[in-house]
Amino acid sequence: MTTATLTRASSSPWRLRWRRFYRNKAALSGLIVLGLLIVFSLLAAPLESFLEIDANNADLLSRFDPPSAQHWLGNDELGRDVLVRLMYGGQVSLAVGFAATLLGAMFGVTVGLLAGYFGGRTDAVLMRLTDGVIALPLLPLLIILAAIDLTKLGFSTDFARSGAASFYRIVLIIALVDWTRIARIVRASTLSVREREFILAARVSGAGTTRILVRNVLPNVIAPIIVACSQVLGSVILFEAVLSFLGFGIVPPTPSWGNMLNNAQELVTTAPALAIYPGLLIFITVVAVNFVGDGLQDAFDPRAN
Amino acid sequence: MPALLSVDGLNVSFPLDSHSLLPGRRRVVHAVQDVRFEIAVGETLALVGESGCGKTTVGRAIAGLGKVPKGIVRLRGEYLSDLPRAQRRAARQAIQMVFQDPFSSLDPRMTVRQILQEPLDINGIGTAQERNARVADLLGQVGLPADALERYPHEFSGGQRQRIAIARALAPNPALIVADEPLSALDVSIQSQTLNLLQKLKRERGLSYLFISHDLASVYHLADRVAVMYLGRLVELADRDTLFASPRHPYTQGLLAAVPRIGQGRRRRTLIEGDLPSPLALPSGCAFHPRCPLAKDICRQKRPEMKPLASSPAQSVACHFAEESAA
Amino acid sequence: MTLYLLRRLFGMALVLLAMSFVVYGLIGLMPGDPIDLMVMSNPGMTAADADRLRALHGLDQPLIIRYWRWLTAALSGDFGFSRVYARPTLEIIGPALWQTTKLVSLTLVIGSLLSVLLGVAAAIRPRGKFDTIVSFFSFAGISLPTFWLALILILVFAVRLGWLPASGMGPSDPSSLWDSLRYLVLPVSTLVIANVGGLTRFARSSMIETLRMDFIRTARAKGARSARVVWRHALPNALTSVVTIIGLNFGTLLSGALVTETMFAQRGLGKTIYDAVLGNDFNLALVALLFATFATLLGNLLADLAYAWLDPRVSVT
Ligand SMILES: Nc1ncnc2c1ncn2[C@@H]1O[C@H](COP(=O)(O)OP(=O)(O)OP(=O)(O)O)[C@@H](O)[C@H]1O
Ligand code: SF4
Ligand SMILES: [Mg+2]
Repeated sequence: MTTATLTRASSSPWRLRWRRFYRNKAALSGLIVLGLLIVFSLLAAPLESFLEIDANNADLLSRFDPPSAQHWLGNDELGRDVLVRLMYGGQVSLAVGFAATLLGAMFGVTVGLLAGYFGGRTDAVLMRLTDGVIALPLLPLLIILAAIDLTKLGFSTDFARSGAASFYRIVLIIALVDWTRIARIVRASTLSVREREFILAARVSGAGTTRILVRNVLPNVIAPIIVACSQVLGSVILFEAVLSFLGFGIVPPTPSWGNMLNNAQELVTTAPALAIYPGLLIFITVVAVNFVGDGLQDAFDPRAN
Repeated sequence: MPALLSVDGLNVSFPLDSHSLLPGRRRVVHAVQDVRFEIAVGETLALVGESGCGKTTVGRAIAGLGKVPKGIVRLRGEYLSDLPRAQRRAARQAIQMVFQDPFSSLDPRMTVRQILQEPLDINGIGTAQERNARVADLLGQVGLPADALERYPHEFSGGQRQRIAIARALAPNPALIVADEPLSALDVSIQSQTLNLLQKLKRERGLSYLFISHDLASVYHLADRVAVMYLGRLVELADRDTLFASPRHPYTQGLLAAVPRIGQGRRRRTLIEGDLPSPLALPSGCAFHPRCPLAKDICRQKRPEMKPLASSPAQSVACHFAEESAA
Repeated sequence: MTLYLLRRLFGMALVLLAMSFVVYGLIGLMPGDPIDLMVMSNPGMTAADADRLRALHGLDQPLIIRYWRWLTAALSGDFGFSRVYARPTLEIIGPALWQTTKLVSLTLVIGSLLSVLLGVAAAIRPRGKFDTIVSFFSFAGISLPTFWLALILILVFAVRLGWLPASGMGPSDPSSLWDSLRYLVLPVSTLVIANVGGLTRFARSSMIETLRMDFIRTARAKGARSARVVWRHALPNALTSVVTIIGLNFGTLLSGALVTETMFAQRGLGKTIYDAVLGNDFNLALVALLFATFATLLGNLLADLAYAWLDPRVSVT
C-alpha cells in the first residue's frame, strides 16, 4: 500500500526555532550574558565565605574603602562589601523579575485564553479592561499601591516590615500591571487556534471547555506566550529597580540593584562608583533580556520582523 | 429501513455584531432554515450545494457543534435534546465527524496515539490495555503502519492525515459519520483512495454517512440518496439514481449541467447564471427566483414547500413547477 | 464623528470613575489615618474624642458613602485639601501640571523629530551598517533605567563638568531665557534619551513597511528619485505612526517623567504624587493621579484622532 512509507519526516518546529535563534548573534549573546548574570548572582554566598566576609555587616571604620584583596570592589557608605552585595542584589532583582513576569503571565494567559476562546462580549469586556490598564500611568499607580499599609490588611507588624513582605508585595503589584501585553498576545493566538478544526474535533469527542482550553488551546499558544514573557521581563526588571530606588520596593538591608542606588544621588559626588555599578548591571541585564526577547520573536515567527 | 437519524425543522442563525457591548437590535444570518431529512442505518446521504449555502452548518448542528440549533434531532428515535446530560454525551458519541482540512483538524502538539486516544480517554472507554489495542487496530483499519503512532501530524502527507482523522472518528465506534468535504483538500490522486476507504468502512462496519461535498462524481460514487441545498434550505431530495437521471428542481438541474456527466458525452447547457444573493437579504418567495430560468410571478410571492412528487413519491422538491419541470 | 467622540469621552469618564473609586478605597489602607496622627500628636485626646472627630469628618461612614461625598464634591469642582500644604489640591496641581507639560512637550518635539530622522535613515537600508548601529542604540535606550541615566548625566554634566545645574527649577525671576531653560536641559535630555529608542524602532518599522507598499513602488518605478520618494511619500507615514505611538504611550511617558522630576527636583505632576505619598498626603496623591490618568487618556484620544487625520484611509466611526 502506498501509505506504508511515511513521507516528510522533518525536524520538529522547536528545533527549527532554536536553529534560527542560534543564528541570531545578538540574541545568542543576550542569552549567554543572562546566563552569566545568573551564575554571578548565585556565587554570592560561596564568594562571601571564600573571602571570609559578611556583606550584611556594617563596619563604620571601613566606609568607602577602596578595592582591596578582600573587598574587590571596595566598601559602601556603611562599610559593606560592594561586590557581594551586588551579587545578592542580583539574586533579588532577577527573582523579582522572573516571579512577577510569571505571576503576570498566569493572569494574562487566563485573560487572553478566555477572551480569545469565548469571543463576543466576554472578549469585549476583558479587552476593554486590558486596554484600560495599558493606558494608565503605571508608575504613579504602582507607588500608591506600594504605599499600602500591610497591617491594615491584617498582617502582623513584623511581617509587614520584613524583607520577605516587600518581596511578595513588589512581585504582586508589578504582576497587577504587567499582564496586559501577555493577555493581548495570547488572545490573538487563541483567536486563530480557536478556528482550527482540531478544536471542533475535540468537542465532537465530548471534551468540555476546560479540557479544550488546557489540553488543546494552551499547548498551541505556548510559543507566543514565551515570546511575550521574554519581552515583558525587561520592563519588569526596570519597574523593580525604579520602585526600589524610590523606596517603594525591596526594603534595605536586603539589597536589590534598585535600592543599592537609594543613596547614590548624595554619593554621586563622593563615591561615583557606588552609583555606577548597580545601574550598569540593571542596564546590562535588561539589554540582554531584550535581545533574547527580540531573537525569540524572530525565531518563532520569521515573517514578523 | 429504520431511521438512524432524523432531523426536522432544523434552524440555525448566527448573530452579527456579537462583540457589541451595547444592547439593541442584532442582525442575524439565517444560515439554515427548516431542514428535514432522515438517514437510515448503513445509508449514505449526500448533501450538495454552492459554497455558503449552509452545508457545514447542518453537519455541525447534527454533530452537536455550535450553539444549540432550533428543531428536532432524533437519534434512533430519541430526541437528543431531551436526554439527560450524561446520556446525551454518550449518545453523541454515536455521531462523529471528519473535517475538510486535515492540516487543521489534527492537533499539531499531539502524537497520533494521543489524537486517537483522546475520544477514548474523554469518554472513559475501556481499560488502558484495551485502549492501546483499540488505537493500534484503528490505525490498521485506515491503512496506516503501526509505527505511525508515536509521530506528530506534520510528519504525514495530506492523505495520511485524513486517514488519521477518519481513524479518530471511528474510535468511539460511531453509527454515523458526518464527513464535511473530506476530499476537497486532498490531491486528486489521493481523493479516490480516500473515497474507497470510506466505501470500505461503510461496507465492513455498516456505517452511515452524511457526506457533504461539492464534487458530484464522488457523490455519485458513495451516496445512496442526495439532498440539494440552496441558501439555507433543502430544495430537492431523492435517491441517487433518480436525482442524477431526472432532477426536478431548476437549481439541481443547473448543478448537474455544470459538470460533465459520467457515461454521457453530452453536456447540457442550462448553467446557473448570476451571483448568490447575500444571506443577509434573502429574496422573497422562492429564494432561487432571481437566478431561475423558469421563474414566474408566483415565485416572487410565495415560497414553495418541500413536497414529494405525485409521480414519484420518493423524490421531494421545493418548486412551484416541480411536476412539470422534468428536464 | 460626534458620536465617536461622545463614546470615547464616555469611556474616559468610566475609566476615571473606576480609577478614583479604587484609589479612594486604597487610601483607607494607607499608613497614617489623619485622626490617628492627631491622637498621637496630642496626648490629651481620649479614644472617645477620636471617635467624635471621626464622626465629625464622616470617617465612620461606610466607604461607599464617603466616596459618594467625595465624588459629588469633586464633580462640583471641590477636590479637597492637601494635608501637608493645607491648601486646596488644585492650587498645588495647577503649577505642577504646567511644569510637567513644559517637560513633556519639549521632550515630545525633540524626541519625535529625532526618532523620525533616525528611523527613516535606518529604514532606507534595512540591516545595513547605519541600521545596525541605530538598532543597537534603540535597544540600549529602551533598556536604560531612567533614574540611573539621570544620575549619570548629573555626574558628568553637573558634578564633573559643572556646565549645568544638577537640580531645581531655577530662580523665580530668571534674568534671561537661558537662565530658566538651563534647568530644563538635563531633565529633558534624560526623557528624550529614555524615549527616543522605542520611538525610533516604531518609526523604522513603519517606514520599512511603507517602503514596501505599492504606491511607493509605483512612485519609484515612475522614476521619482529615491530620496524624493522617501521624504515626500514615506515620511508622512512614518510620522503618523510615531505620533500614534506617542499618544498611546503617554502613560509610560508620564511614568518616566515622575522619575525624572524626582531626580532633578522639578515640581511636576509626578513628583507631586511621589512627595504626597511619602508625606501621607493621600488626597493630594489621589487627585494628582486622576489628573495624570486624565492626561494619559486624552493623549490616547488625540493619538487616534491624529491618526485618522493624518492617514486618509482610516475613518473614525
Ligand atoms: N460562525 C458563524 N458566524 C456567522 N455566520 C456564519 C458562521 N458560520 C457560518 N456562517 C454563515 O452561514 C452561512 C452558511 O455557511 P456554511 O459554512 O454552512 O456554508 P457551506 O455550505 O458549508 O459553504 P462551503 O461550501 O463554503 O463550506 C454562510 O452565509 C456563512 O457566512
Ligand atoms: S419556485 Fe419558481 S423560482 Fe423557485 S425554482 Fe421553482 S420555478 Fe424557479
Ligand atoms: Mg462548508
